[in-house]
Amino acid sequence: MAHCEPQTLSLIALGEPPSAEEAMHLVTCDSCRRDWESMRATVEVARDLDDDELMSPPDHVWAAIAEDITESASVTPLRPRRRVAPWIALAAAVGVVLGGAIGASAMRSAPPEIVASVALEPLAEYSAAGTASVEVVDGTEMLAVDVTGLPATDGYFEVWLLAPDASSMIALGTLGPGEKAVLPLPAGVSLADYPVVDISAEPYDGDPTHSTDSVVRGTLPA
Amino acid sequence: MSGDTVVLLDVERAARRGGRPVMALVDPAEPSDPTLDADAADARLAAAFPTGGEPTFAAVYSRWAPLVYSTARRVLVDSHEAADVTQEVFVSAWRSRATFDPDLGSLPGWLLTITRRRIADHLDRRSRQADPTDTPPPDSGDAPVDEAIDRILIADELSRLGEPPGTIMRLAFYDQLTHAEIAERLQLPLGTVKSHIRRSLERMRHRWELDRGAL
Repeated sequence: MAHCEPQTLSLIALGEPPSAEEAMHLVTCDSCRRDWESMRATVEVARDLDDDELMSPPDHVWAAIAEDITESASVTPLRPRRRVAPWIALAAAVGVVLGGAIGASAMRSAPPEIVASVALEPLAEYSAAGTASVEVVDGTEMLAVDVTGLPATDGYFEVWLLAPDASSMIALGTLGPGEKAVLPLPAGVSLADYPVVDISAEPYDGDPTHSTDSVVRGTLPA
Repeated sequence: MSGDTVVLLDVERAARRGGRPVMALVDPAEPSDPTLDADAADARLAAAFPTGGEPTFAAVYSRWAPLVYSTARRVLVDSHEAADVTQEVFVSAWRSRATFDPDLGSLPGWLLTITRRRIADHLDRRSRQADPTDTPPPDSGDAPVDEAIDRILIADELSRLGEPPGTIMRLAFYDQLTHAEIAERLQLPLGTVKSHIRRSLERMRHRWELDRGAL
């Protein structure tokens, strides 16, 4: 006979009796038998399900997750050591590299090669947003950040690279009043180890560590 | 028509929902399928997940946390531990969401892969607590996890069938009614009942194979 209709196979899988001809066919036809056996396996599992097979986790689980992912967003760092030069040297370096880049682009107008980029999303009560991208300018890796909607501050904003769990971090430099910055990445820093771009609001308190007051954040794609 | 063809058509229809030409390839007399909307919503959620923010993540959680929690609870039995696993899985999913590629696999399959690892960690910890000198057995058993996942995926699909397929399948599974008895009970044409049964079983089987395939 011709192959069994899928409808017929489903009914047989549910336990309805096959006709003699269908039963014979199932013995001899591997393809129909495989279909039938696989449907029967599904039926057997379905018939064995408990009433409470599928249960929602208790509400406190989501509360803990929400807290965890927002907490990792607002950073409680363990007083990390700053790994970059004092800001004057850094600012000078930025100036040199930027000057070089601008000079080169004026001559060559070669656009920077964008290696990776990510949207920066606001944290906590903030509404700022922007982008960060890793660009190669004349062989030097730079992090370009462009953020709008930064809150008013008595202090300043600082750009960081964080480890995924925020257990360690590298300060890259400050964000200027125009809310854009192109900061050199220290040679040898692995973006795989520090994929999270973070911008924090910092008070002028002379403390070089992260204030834990993060404004925007984004994770660079691997 | 072989079973495979039916499955491909279902997927194709889900992908191009509302596309009349594809609908016409399937038997035009077949009843409409209420689960297609749910499929489309799942697909949109999975596509938004890797770049989405917390609202998307919250939606992903409410859609798939029961799968994760129920799998863990079935294997670990202890509901507190199952809650811990669920928390670990979703915190880890949030942190690595950018690595999920919706084109390469299903999101529940991806979440269940993480779940499987976390459950293994918990079982490992348990056996070390029981006897710290004991090294865990080399293959401490994926079988219970596999079985739990099979059950949970089928339960999930059954819960999403919509109506009337949901009622039809419950009558067929649990009341063990024949399709003729179901047709009479629900005052539906025989062909409609047969068609819903065939399609629902195919869906359950396919979903199971799809999400397990990602493991």
